[in-house]
Amino acid sequence: MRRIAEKLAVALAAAGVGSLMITILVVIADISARKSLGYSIRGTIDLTQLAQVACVFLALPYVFLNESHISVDFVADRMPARWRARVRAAGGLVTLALMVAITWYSFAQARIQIAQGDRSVTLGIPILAYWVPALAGMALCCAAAAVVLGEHTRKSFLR
Amino acid sequence: MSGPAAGAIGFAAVLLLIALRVPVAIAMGAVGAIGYGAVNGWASLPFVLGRAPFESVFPVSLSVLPLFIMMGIFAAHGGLSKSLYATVAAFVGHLRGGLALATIGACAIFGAVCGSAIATAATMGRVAMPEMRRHGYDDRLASASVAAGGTLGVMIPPSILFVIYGLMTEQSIGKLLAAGILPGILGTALYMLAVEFATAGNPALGPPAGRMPWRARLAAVKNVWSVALLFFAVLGGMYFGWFSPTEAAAVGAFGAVILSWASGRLTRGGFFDAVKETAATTGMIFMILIGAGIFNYFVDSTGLTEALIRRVKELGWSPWSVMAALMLMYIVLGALMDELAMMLLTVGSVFKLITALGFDPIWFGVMFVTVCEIGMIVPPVGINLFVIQSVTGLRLGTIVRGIAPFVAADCVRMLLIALVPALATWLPSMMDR
Repeated sequence: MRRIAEKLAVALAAAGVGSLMITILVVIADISARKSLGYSIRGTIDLTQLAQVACVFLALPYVFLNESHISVDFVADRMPARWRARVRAAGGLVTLALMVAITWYSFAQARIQIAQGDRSVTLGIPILAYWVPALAGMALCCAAAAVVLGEHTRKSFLR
Repeated sequence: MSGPAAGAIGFAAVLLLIALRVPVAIAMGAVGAIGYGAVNGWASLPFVLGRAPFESVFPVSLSVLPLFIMMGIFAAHGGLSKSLYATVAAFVGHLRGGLALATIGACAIFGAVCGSAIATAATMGRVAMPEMRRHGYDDRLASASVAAGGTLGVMIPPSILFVIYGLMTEQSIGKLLAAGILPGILGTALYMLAVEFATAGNPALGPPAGRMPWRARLAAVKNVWSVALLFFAVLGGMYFGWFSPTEAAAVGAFGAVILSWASGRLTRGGFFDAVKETAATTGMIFMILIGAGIFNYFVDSTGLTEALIRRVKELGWSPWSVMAALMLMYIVLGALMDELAMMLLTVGSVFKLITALGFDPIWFGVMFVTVCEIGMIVPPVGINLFVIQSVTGLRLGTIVRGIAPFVAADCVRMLLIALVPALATWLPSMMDR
């Protein structure tokens, strides 16, 4: 389970960073064209925004699965091992609950914006294109949080 | 219960959850959601949870963050740090404590292409620590010089903390980055004085290495022209108005990838590691922005900030007394929690207070980042102490025992920036001309 989740999370994270790299090339091309030819590529801001949303939300499952969050250890580290695992399991439960609520209500928000026909300013990219990686990332964060919660729960009841 | 009281309880609840090892982003998000529902009615909660996460990521101005992160990580994986360290060590390595001076200098220059204190400390730690140990440096001085030098990464532009401060307070990112240049140089000089101070009392802490001939020094300089070029392309481009901050960050990220590849040190495996690290750091920072976005909905709805400003005015303290109290609070808070989290948790409220008292927002940004630097090297939660511990395998106590002169240097710098605000405001003011 962990191995499959890990591979999927790495693939998505790489896809997100890849989209950012493609946008960097577009921005460099835009600057070069603007400085040398006086011609500007249309819609670089829209594309940058799309890549940014994709990069962030597709990276999040990797962060959740590897517990790369910023957290403070100095109190929990002084607890006995089993209590430490229990505290982390409780934290995992809070994480899962929050992410499920965020994903659920974001889905409702996305439906409203898609129904309203929102589009990007210059290229007219449908808002759906921004919401798809966002919702996919959020849903996979829930799965990653569930995997981590399961691991900590097992540890807290093992001898 | 009054709104402001609910807001204060919310802050306490976040700190409690953070102490219990709940991730900072989740602690802020969970308390924000529950607090907002309790204060404004549960029916309004779906609106906040549906909007805040997407809103926290969507603004295009935030695109500088992943781009600057990518720039720093690829610069680190491309081995630029080794060339930098060798170059600075070629000039000052023969002095008493010279390799520690070289560490500080190389950290400052590496900070010019990397906006993260953690990345700067980790990267330079791997390069500088083995060299200093090989030359018989005391572990206390060696490890503390890397931990402290690493903090220069968040003062010398491009700085991720300045970017987030600018986005939170709607200040010009270009001006904030320019504001960090002189305090960054001052910090480098004061850290070097701290090394001199430490080794003057006990020269065995940092014995001199061999003197390099001028030909070798000039040859070393040739290896680092690319870092200088990258720094001037990014900062110069923004300062002279050639690029927007987003474009400058894209140029920086592009340049870092190309230079790392051209150096021949970026392997295929290193490239994928850099991609994963970029994803992890970007995701981690934006998750805190999402948590803070939800928490700020809650805090705004409680009226806590306005009540705080009213209370401070009723106390009748002078603005400078309030500033001193704030800085003291931040030093204590910075010793207990992560600096980015501290910023996202407090700056929204504190910024309104300090601007109401008439302080310059750019100057306050520099003061804030300086206290963050102190927080990064003060136990128990000085993040750079842990980074150096993991890089070197030393005991935390060993690193902490060497850190005092550097903390003193930071306090002197903060005092100088308070007494001479132009150190922070002069360069940004030149951008208006």
